[in-house]
Amino acid sequence: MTETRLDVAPGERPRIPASEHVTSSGVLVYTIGLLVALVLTITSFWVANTSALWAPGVPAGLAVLAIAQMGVHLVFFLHITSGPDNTNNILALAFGVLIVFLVLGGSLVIMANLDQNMMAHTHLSNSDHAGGLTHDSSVNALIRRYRDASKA
Amino acid sequence: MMYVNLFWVWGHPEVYILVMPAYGIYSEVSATFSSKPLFGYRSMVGATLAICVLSYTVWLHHFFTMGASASVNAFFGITSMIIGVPTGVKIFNWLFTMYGGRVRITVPVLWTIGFMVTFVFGGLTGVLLALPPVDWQVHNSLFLVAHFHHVIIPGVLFGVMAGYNYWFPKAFGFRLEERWGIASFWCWFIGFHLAFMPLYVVGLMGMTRRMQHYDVLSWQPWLWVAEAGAVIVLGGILCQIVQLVVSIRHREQLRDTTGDPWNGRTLEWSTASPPPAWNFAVPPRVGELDAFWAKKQRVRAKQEQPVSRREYQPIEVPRNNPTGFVTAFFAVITGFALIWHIWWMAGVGLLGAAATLLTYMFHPDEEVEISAEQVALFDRTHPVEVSL
Amino acid sequence: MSIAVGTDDVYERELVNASEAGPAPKRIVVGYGFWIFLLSDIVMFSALFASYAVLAKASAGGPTGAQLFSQQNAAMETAFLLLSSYSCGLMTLAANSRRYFRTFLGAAVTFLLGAAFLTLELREFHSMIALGATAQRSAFLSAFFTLVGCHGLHVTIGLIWLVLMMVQLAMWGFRPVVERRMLCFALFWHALDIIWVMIFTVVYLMGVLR
Repeated sequence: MTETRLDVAPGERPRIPASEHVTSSGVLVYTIGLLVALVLTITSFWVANTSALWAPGVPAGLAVLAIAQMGVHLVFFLHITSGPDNTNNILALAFGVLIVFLVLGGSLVIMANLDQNMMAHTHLSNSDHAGGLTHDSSVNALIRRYRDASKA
Repeated sequence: MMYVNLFWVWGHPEVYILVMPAYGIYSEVSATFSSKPLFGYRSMVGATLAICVLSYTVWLHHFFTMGASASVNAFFGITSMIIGVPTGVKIFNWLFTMYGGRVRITVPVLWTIGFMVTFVFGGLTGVLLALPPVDWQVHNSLFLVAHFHHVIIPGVLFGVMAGYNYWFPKAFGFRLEERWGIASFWCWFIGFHLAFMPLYVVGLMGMTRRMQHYDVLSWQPWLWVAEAGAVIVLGGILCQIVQLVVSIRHREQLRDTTGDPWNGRTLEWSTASPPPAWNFAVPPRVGELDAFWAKKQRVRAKQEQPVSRREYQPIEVPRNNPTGFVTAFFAVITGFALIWHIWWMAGVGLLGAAATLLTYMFHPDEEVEISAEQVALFDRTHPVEVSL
Repeated sequence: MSIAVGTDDVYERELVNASEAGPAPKRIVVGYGFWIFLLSDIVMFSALFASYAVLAKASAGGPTGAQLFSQQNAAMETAFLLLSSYSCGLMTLAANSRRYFRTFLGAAVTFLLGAAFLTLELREFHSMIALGATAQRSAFLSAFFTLVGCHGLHVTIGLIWLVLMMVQLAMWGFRPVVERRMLCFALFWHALDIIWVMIFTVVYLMGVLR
């Protein structure tokens, strides 16, 4: 009896029919993944150290290369592809990526916003304090404003 | 503030994690006791998915007052208002499930109706709080305390009580005593309102949370009412304890012999009470929602014999083992020790957890096989009215 | 409700009613469950990344990333971990074809490369602490040690797990339970490399930019 496989476990290759089997196709997939990942990694190190690129664009470039490397890992090592039997794995991954994006992006936006909003009065930069202290004068200013407003 | 930010990134989804199972319980209870299918199944699923995603986009509303700019506050205020919509969809679906049905007012249904009536208002105060200017006035006041109790108690606690009464016979083989159940519900319902509605007033009068003492006399009458409410809630809890004791004592009169004490709609009611370790002797064939109900209609229509000749197969079930429980025990020890920097204790906890996991890992058998004869014997000695 | 299995002529076309297909094979269920656990672990790392990103410049007058980090070291660590991911993949292939020697060989190479990574990382931590750049020195350093240290902890646990898996393989052979556990290990190990990609990009490469 043929086993009807509706799903593939994450990390397993989707079923390739026997007629398309190549003896070393497994090794080939991993090797391609390794080589592409190596190229991307070396490129990352080069990008971080070169002066040939416009400096403000370097972090963005590094981020793109990192995402590409993660994609290579997912596809070549973890076999997360877009086949019909991989749908559950992709959905779980998509949800995970959404949460990561919300946590990372949300935290960065919020903390930057708090930093800007709460430190404006004192012109002190973060590197002179052990990170993220609200300066007394700005808190007092807020309290003063609130008290004045509620008296009005 | 980074700590506060990360805490609430977890903390807000957490309260939805708390309430979603309760929503599921309400769906089951309202459908079963109205003898009607759940209204709007697809929109229920859609609403659940919407809540899953949206609950990760609102967390800043827990710290509106901590210095973010107006635009950031506005964004999270808007998302906090949007997230009320899917829950509203669910409330309408439960209402329409009951509408036009023959509603049997049992204890689970009392808890469900109590939920619907109370939770809506609690949710509305949440929408009020979602407005940053309003929140700036009442943040960390008793208004806020009243709001979150006004959603958690009807939402989560009433749901747990409804589920407790609903599934108790399935789990233990006998029903819970009805009258003490009704008494506990009314004590909780009245007590809850007396205990928490005054807190809105007192919160708007300026009383903050976590006060060790207060010296504003005008708050006092309201707080006395709240105290009375708390005492009545205590009465409700005592009624629940008495209910359990009485039910155990009278369990033979309350015995569930058919496996289906509520004329249920879903598959669990097709098993014996309590069910065997393998649940179903033969995997049920399911062609629609409320499969058990559909099967019952077919059997009654055709006057069929409920159980035709069946082929029993041996069934594999997980081996009973305490690994999870013991590992959790060591995890608690480790966590406690890490908080208080008791390094030796942390080591003990980690080693204990590791040893437990290793013991489990090297046990040769993960499963136990139940023989076909054992399955057949159970089925013969525990006939159910209609089985799938 | 039917699901078409296979979408071209090469597969056997079978229309299977979803409820008739029964529960998914254990391998798939276990793999999927472990995948969900890994995603939750990645969410935890994202919280640690967020903390690091926010605090990366908060060096409290102490040593900064640019002063402390050696790109050579990071490059070697990256190479070791990437190659260990590759050898883990080869080990998986060997396990799929039930070849004992190759599986043990792949495991040994993975272990050695992972241990080399850990050695480099521990030496880096040691040299930082010797310079006075401890986790207590500044928020930046606290965040650094927590993030990178947590990853290193995961690698350590992975190495211990790998040893245990080889012991089980030697004791029981390629039993289904052993195969499932090796699948989970491979998932874990590749996920660790994915997280390392983020770490070396955000911490080491971006850390030395300014």
